[in-house]
Amino acid sequence: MGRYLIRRVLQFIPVFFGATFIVFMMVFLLPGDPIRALAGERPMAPAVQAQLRDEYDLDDPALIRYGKWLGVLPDDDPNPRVLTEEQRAAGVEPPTGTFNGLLQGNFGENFRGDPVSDILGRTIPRTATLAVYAFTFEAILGVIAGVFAGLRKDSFVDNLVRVSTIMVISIPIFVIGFGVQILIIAFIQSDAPGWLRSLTDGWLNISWRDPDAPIFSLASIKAFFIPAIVLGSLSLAYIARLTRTSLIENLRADFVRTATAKGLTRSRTVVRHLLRNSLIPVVTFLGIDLGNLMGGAIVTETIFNVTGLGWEVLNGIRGQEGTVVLGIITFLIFIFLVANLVVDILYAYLDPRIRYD
Amino acid sequence: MTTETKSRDTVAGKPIDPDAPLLDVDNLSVEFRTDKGVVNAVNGLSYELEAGETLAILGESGSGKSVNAQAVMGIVDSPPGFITSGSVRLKGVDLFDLKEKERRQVRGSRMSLIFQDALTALNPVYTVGWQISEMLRVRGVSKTDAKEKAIELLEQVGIPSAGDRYDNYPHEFSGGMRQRAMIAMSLALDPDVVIADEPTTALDVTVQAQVMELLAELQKEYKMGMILITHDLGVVADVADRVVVMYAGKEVEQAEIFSLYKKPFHPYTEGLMHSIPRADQKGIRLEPIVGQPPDLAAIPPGCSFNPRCPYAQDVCLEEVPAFREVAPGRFSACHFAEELVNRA
Repeated sequence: MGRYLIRRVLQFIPVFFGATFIVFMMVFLLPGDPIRALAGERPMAPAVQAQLRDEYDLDDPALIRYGKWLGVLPDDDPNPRVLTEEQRAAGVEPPTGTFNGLLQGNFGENFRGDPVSDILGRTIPRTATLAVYAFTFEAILGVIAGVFAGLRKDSFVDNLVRVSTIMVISIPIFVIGFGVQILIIAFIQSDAPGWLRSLTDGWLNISWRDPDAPIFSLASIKAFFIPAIVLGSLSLAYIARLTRTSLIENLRADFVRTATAKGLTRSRTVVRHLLRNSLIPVVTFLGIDLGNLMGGAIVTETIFNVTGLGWEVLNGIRGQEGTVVLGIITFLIFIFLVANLVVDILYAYLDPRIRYD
Repeated sequence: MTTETKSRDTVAGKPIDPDAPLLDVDNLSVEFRTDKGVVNAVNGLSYELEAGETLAILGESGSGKSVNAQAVMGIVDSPPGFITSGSVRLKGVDLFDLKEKERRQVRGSRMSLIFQDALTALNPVYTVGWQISEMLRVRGVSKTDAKEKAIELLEQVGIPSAGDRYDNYPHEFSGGMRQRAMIAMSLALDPDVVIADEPTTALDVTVQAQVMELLAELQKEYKMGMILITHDLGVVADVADRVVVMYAGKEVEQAEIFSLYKKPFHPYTEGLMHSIPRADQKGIRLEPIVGQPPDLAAIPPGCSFNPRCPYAQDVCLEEVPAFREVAPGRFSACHFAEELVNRA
């Protein structure tokens, strides 16, 4: 297992360079001029434009820019980061030609001069909170729905689960998001009974506002309630179906029959023998999905104005903020790699027939 | 053992009938209601089993022999399976009258089942030892005692260094060892009846013999009644005392093992005998039974064997032959059983 882990972690390196390179080139190839985009409708002096282009190395060839961004090529701009507080106070000129990129821990800056690491630090907690809530929602409800449908195949519950999940899967997430917003507005405008209004008070938000509350506090759950449901709905449907199929497959398995023949209670047979085996593929899916939820929240975050990673990445693409897009995507690649590794290790733990060596 | 204390005088809390046979299966019928129609897997099967006796149930695939075992154990998947008639009595106590909770006390503890393929019958994600000791633990035995007993059982079925093997997963066992572990599990609670459902089909020939030998030994030691379900006449010859031959969910012949081998009283049994190679008849071409086993959703009227029977007459197409005593200790469901015997 130790050797396997080392090998897997070493595999991170080529994947990481390959993925960042491809994304860098894609951002570079985007048509349009980021400086003009920054100026917008207002006129900008050619001298200012030229200065900005130089400052952000926009005139360099793509490969050189990638090298500078990574930190394997020296940056020809002054680099105040290497100075200590005392040196800065003493007015020492920042040196040029230092290596100042991702490998040195510098994600770069956007065109306003805000460090990308600050943007990441601000947005990751929001998106992570949203992802964790969506994950909890889809995992608990999806498995429960799948178990009830699978144990009673072709029953009313089973058909309900099957029809509702296929609906969720076939409707695009933005339609679900806007649909939920419309439903909430309709509910608020209707003359619903007072107890229902007070019960739902604070839960049904069509736009997210930063509650600045610790995660898992009631205020934070209320604020993320609707976006998390919308974000988790698609995976919820997949998990319910996966659990159901896996359960039905194992329900007729010999070892379940053995468990019954051993004189075990129905509940012990279902939980210890049937579920333990049926949830292996579900756990695998959930692990991968945690990465998907982090990166896939762009649509949901945009609809509900959650100023998280997805929202920021969309703005970054619109404004051609290459450093922002790259910084976020680098982080997401890392999350995906780690999630995959964790799933593989978990898989070996859940199914003793899998061995890595 | 706490709650489910095993008394030799009761079955699931009901008093036993001391004169009743150990296991009495009477007129058992099981059907599967599928989308394509009703499949009659077992049709009025009756047999008895005494303590210390080995009864072989012989039949080809689809003759209902495994479904019979599941019905006796009470583990038929329902739906689609339904027991439509008959009774199963353990020491005179009708198991079909028991509530599910009482029935569960019988399963595993009074009667246990050895499955055909131990690789699929053992749960792949738990260790072999855990699965054996689970039987004891769910009945209130402490963890350490259960483990001790499980290791003892593993030793008894001939698994070397059982203490270490306790923590192995099923896939780390060889085929023969898995089946031995399965046998150990079935014996964990010292049952009165063990049903072995094709226990050696999934094994190599050499291992088959070892496992059969082990079963025979343990049966004597534990003085239990054993039902051996098989399609293999060779396996039957070595260990069984009596044989029930099944065809299309019905018994067609029942006899002591030696008299059956000497002279079958039913054309189907005769066909089976002719279709196995024998050491004393080298060079003689084997005669397979012509045709296919019947579709259990459409069993032919009259004698269900009539489409394949070389002796079939008009009466066989119309009348269901009675299962009757043809000679002392010999039962057959053939209209022409006597003629068959005289002809041979």
